[in-house]
Amino acid sequence: MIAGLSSGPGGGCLPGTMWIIPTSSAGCVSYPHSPSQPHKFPGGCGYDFPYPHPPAPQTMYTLALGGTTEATLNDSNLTSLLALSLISATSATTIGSIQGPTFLSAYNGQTLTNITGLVAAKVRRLIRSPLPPSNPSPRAPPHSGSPARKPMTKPSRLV
Amino acid sequence: MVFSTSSTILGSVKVGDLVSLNARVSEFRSASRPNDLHLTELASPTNITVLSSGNPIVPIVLGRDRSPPTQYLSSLDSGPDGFLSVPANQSLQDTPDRQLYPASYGLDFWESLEGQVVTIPKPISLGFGNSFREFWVRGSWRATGVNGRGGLSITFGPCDLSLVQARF
Repeated sequence: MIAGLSSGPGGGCLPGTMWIIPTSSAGCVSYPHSPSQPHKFPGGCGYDFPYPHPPAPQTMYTLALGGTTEATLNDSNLTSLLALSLISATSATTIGSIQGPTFLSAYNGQTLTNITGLVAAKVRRLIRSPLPPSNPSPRAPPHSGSPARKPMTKPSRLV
Repeated sequence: MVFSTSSTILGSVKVGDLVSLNARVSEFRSASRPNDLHLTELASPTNITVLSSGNPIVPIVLGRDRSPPTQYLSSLDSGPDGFLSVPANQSLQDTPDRQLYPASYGLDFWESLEGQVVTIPKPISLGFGNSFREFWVRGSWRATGVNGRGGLSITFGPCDLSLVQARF
């Protein structure tokens, strides 16, 4: 399980969460090969590898919300709606369209209804009690078989 | 990712359920960790309805279905020393928000897998775990920075970010 990408320790799976994922390739996100060459891959979430023409690392791609990305999202939404029409008579928002092709969701801060997805995992974080001291208490006899410390469960966002 | 502290909500669904719900989209990042990437969450879920159950979960097999790029960390980094070039100050990868290029840049690759279930074939630990039982691993995919001890060396210039943090 990927616990998340962060710049250091502690950034990971959130407690009390469930992951829901696109229900089909129709809910997948399409990543362009370059700003001028949008590319959608057939047969599911993925892309061709190796990348044929990597952009130069000096190139900075700045997203303009409401620009070409908006069009991509709209296309994805349309495809998803068609794919899910047999499941629900009302319009549904897919996980793929919420995540979108950028770092941040274009729906950030919005309350959406009828979000549809597949429950892929349920995660509840267990926080261990502090590690025992490296030097045991002199009053604790070695190999005493004392009960293990009870883990502290904290079902809330921690990271 | 749906975030909830309600045992009622979490207990109302199980893995493999196709569900619909209402929720607020939130980009979460701990206030104490301002350099982390955001996680997209669905907060305050309501009206969770199970549409069907027993649907298969097919993980993405890393190294087979997709492989991390091994040359560049981010499109924000420039200069002969790659991500170590100065002036840098490009640690906030999503400010402003950017288009992802998962086939080219390591950070973009892992960000594109957010919320996905993946399989890491033949994982190799790259270090000791932290207090959250998280530690960095690499799988049996192509990596250019493998050193003599089986770890990954990050050097000046092209950056091999073919590693991922896992929790077991």
